[in-house]
Amino acid sequence: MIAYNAGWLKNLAIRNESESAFHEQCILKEELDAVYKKYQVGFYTPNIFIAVGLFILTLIILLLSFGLFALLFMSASEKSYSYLAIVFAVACYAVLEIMISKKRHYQSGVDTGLLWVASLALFAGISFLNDFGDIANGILVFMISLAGLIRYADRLLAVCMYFSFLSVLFFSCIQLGTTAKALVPFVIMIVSLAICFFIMQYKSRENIFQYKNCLTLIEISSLISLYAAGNYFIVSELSIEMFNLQLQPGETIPFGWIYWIFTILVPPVYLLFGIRKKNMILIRTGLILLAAIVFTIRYYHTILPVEYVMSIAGIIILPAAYLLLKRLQDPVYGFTSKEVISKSEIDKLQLESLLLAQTFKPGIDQDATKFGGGSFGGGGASADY
Amino acid sequence: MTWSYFTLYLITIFMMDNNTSEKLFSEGLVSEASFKRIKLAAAAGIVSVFWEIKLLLYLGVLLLSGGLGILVYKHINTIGHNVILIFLILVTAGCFAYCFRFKKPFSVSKVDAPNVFFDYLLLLACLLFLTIIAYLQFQYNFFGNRFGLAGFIPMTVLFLAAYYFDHIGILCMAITNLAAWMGITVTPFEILKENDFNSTAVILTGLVLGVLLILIGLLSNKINFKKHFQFTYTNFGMHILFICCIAAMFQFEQFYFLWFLLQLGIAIYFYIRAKTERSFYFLLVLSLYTYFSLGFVVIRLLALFNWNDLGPVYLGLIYFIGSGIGLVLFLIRSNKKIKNL
Repeated sequence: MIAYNAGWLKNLAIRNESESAFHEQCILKEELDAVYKKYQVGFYTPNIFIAVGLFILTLIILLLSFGLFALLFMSASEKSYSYLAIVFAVACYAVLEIMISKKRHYQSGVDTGLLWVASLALFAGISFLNDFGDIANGILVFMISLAGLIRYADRLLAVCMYFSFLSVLFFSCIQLGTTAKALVPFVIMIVSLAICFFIMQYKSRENIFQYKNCLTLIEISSLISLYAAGNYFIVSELSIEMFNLQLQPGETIPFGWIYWIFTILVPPVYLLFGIRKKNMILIRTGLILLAAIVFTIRYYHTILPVEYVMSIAGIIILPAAYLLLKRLQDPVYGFTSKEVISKSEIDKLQLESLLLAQTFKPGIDQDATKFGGGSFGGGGASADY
Repeated sequence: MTWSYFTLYLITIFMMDNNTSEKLFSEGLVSEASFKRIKLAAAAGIVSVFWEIKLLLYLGVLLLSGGLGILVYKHINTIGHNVILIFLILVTAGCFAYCFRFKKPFSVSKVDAPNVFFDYLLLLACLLFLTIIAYLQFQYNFFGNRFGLAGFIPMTVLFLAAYYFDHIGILCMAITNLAAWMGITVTPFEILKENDFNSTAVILTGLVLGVLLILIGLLSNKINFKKHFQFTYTNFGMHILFICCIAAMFQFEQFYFLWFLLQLGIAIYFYIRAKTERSFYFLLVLSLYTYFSLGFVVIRLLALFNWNDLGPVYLGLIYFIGSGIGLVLFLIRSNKKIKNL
């Protein structure tokens, strides 16, 4: 089953839980140390920055190696590249297995990079070799990511698996006829809802704890696909794109009002349920989707110029956030605005200040780009002159 | 990878579940008092929405400052724009007033914000202040043709605000403004000079700026004046220096090796600092830049020979793969070294 040492994964989970219990001042430092001593973890997991570096380098090495082999075995037939890709993928999986079992890598960047490249190469190789259509491609992605998910518990593969499953469903449905085409959004919504409930029910089971994060991501994906399948913009764009629906200006898609109801109603429902059940996943997804409502409405009805919308939104959001902050000083209904300190403070501080450096680009940047395009833009007010 | 960490943040709500706490308790790792505390916390089930509120505040500030900024420009030459300008000034003044009223006393060391809201109001105030200054110059030619002054004043205000209220975000804005200001005082010469001199001026200014920022960082640490700003200064300075060196390698082709040596020197300097400050971030940045510039040098060397076939391409690929593996090993070893310091 899972490639990583299951005992260590369990110990790591216990360590993480104890760490957060310590930060919530439930257990003492000595107790935390005792837990760390008892529950050993032998993984090689470097610091996050090093992991990012290792990930980038792994990608570079693998891509260039593929290029080198492609040059060495240059041939006239295109099929040979497909075979090369498949062989390359197998080699990547082999190296990945060695890295995990011998070098004990776990979320080190190296294993993630190898896994993603291997999955991609395998898919590309098989798909090109056979000239697969939509459904076959979907099934292929589903199988590759399902296998990768079970063996390596990778979160990106979990998301790929879920959406490839939906795409298979989608393409199969639209081949069944006109009625089926019209019902596709509802089929997807029902399936998303079913998967979401199923995961919420079972993801905390003890025997699948390694996959908890992956399952949570599938849960988020299903919440998003549930909304997307009922979103007016997505349904109408897909109808125009996929089914050659011809719309006259001012005309709406059939049963457009149903989709408008879904578009506007679903995110508040998520939020409401999230608050009632104290489910942060529902709350966060709901918050993000609130923005989707605004974008959808604005795409079809330009009620106000964008700068007014921005200003008004700012004027509403700021006091609302302030009120929340003040009201939740003491927990209300189980929610608090107080910070729960997380794991590594120094890393977080550095990360936060890096993010700040990235996000603040007052004005249009003109000058810093001349240095050769760095990761930050200069500019400021003076760029307006 | 960033994606991974982002999703990890999105989904990790660690909570000790009952099984774990009971297990730890029965093994004697956790005392009865602690066990009860865990049970109580789990029963209360308090959820923190701290980061959600912070995100909302940030979003609100960005939307409001951005929206008002566009509004002002769109309504130039109409009656409305004076109203908007006055509104802008009032909001800015109000935000600053709030900050002055509630700020904690100044100290040379880190001062925590009195509350979360404070940080974002200050941010809003500074962003709007920049809009006002830019607008004054645009509409009324407030600073005349003294472009240096027009860049200098907001920069100074930003630096003062960053130090006075102890805000790293504002400091980042101030530093980008400083770069722009130095860029601006250089760029008017560009029009008069040859094309290649332009970049030379920019590159040299960048080098000066980078060294300056790193020195300020060192100084703040040394004289113990807002020590925690050091990382921000050094981070900016480091990137600027590395980028300038690499730009110079392209710009001054005949001397590219000298610039490479300079780049290598800077990398060694930061390697030493990474070890003393135990900074994995410095280590990552210096490795990636050096990998890039070393690759540039190797390609140049390979191009020296007159090849008739694909030989240099093979050699180049093999070099990049080999050095990539070497760098992976280097990072893994340095990671261990820094960890064990």
